[in-house]
Amino acid sequence: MNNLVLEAHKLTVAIGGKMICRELEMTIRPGECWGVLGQNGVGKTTLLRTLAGLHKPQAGMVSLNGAALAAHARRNLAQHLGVLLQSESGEFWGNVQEYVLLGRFPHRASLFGYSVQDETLAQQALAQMELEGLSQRPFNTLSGGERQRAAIAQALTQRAQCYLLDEPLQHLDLRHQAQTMQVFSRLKEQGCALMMVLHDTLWAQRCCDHVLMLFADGHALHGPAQELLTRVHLEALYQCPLRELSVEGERWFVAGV
Amino acid sequence: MLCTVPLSLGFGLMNGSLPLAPIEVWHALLGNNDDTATTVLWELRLPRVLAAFVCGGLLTLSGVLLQALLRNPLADPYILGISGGAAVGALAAMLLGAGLAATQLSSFTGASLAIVTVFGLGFRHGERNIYRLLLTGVVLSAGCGALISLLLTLAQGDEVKGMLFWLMGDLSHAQGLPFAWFVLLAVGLCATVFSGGLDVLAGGLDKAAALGVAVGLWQAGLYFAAAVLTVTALQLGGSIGFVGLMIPHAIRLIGVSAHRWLIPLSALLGGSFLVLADTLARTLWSPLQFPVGVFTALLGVPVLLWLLSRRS
Repeated sequence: MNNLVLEAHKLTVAIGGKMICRELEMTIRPGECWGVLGQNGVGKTTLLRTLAGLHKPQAGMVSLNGAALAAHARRNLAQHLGVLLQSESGEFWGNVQEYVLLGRFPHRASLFGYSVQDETLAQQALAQMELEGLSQRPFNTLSGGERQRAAIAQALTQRAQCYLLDEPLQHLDLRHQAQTMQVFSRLKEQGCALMMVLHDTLWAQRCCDHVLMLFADGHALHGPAQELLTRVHLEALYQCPLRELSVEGERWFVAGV
Repeated sequence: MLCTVPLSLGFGLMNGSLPLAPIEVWHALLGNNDDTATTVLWELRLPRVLAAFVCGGLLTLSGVLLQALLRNPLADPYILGISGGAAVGALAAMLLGAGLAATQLSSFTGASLAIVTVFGLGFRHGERNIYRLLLTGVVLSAGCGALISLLLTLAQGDEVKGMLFWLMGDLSHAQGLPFAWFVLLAVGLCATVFSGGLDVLAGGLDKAAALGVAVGLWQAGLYFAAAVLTVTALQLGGSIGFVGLMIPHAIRLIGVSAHRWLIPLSALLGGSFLVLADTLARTLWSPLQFPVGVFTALLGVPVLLWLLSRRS
């Protein structure tokens, strides 16, 4: 589908005097799915925003296909790079369908509205997130989980080749968690690159082939998910004792007391 | 909804100290004969109605743009201190006994200074915090309020009346009508063309940037456009409140929120609303003429309250 490569070169990110990562080197290739794990407040969101070009790094750079993010026009960037934010600061006054349709904004050919194809893509995304019944509801009357699904549908409508997803599973019930992860797995099979902040190690294990761990002292660890998702690494990461269970061949980690 | 435009214009043209029947208005507009009605209509009433319409359109459009800029449906030119700066400028000139032209120039300067201050201070520490911008505007408005009180205290009896009328909004000395219409049409057209970006921007800065909007450029452009609209409206009719806040809000409550429709509808309905308010203000207790600003508030508050209560 594509050969989009998102790279971090000697990336040093800090926010409000707090160091998040030092000289991070990593490459996200097509068809890879990365999970970002770490304690609350460790800087997962800020790192993701830096990779999306929404936060300026202290040093180093993020590049897309070899060219720095800043060298790409914002619109051009948005055609390839989709971002799911953890929280949205604005208010949207329209209905759910109009909200999802905004995902086509970077691809819009005409200044005067969206094409039939744009609307079809929005409909498909609404169906994928089981939102067809809510498409005419005002967006600000949705519940937290419905809002989250609408935000994911908007990102899907964007048809990006690389997605940076900040806590895509927040507010979702179990069924929609599974369904959403299935949608992402399908994107990955189609050659999409994904990076998502997760708190559930099980989903990281099932869906991610790579993991990036951000530690509270500002160092980062990344590599294949199978190698890093072990009790030793996770106990060091979350600084709490964990119990390991094995259910039908899957490893579950639960916080011990 | 659009039929409110001809209805309000007709209402404005018919009523006044010399009431005209619809047919008389029609004949006078065609200019067939040379009677009093024609003179009154062309010399007095038509300019007044057109001034009210354009002034309402300007204020409403300015409100829509500021609401998209601040992502808050309750933002308007008054909250951001633009009209406060203009009022201080105008009153200071009146106090010094300046003529009309000098007063207008001075009010423009005051508004521009307020814009530069809010824009400069509000965005200096980082573009992400919209509340800093809002608060800068609120603080500046409060400061301007104090300066206005001071100027009113210093003024003599006759001057006070003129100043009060300016503060409350007065369309009887409207000047620069063609320019105001040009501003309304030009900015309205531009805003409609770029309305897709406004929809995205209203959803938040990060979101807009992630969807490919050059946020900094858009913010500066919007602020500038809103400022030009407000200053033009202020020069035409003094401080007239409530229009920029109420009309866009009312249109959103009836279910239109895409800026493609919101912008033209706001301009048209805002214009009609002010024509209506101005006509009532000058006819209800004729020969006394009330400041139109009082009427926009008296009409606006109940309507807004009704819309809000209906919603919840």
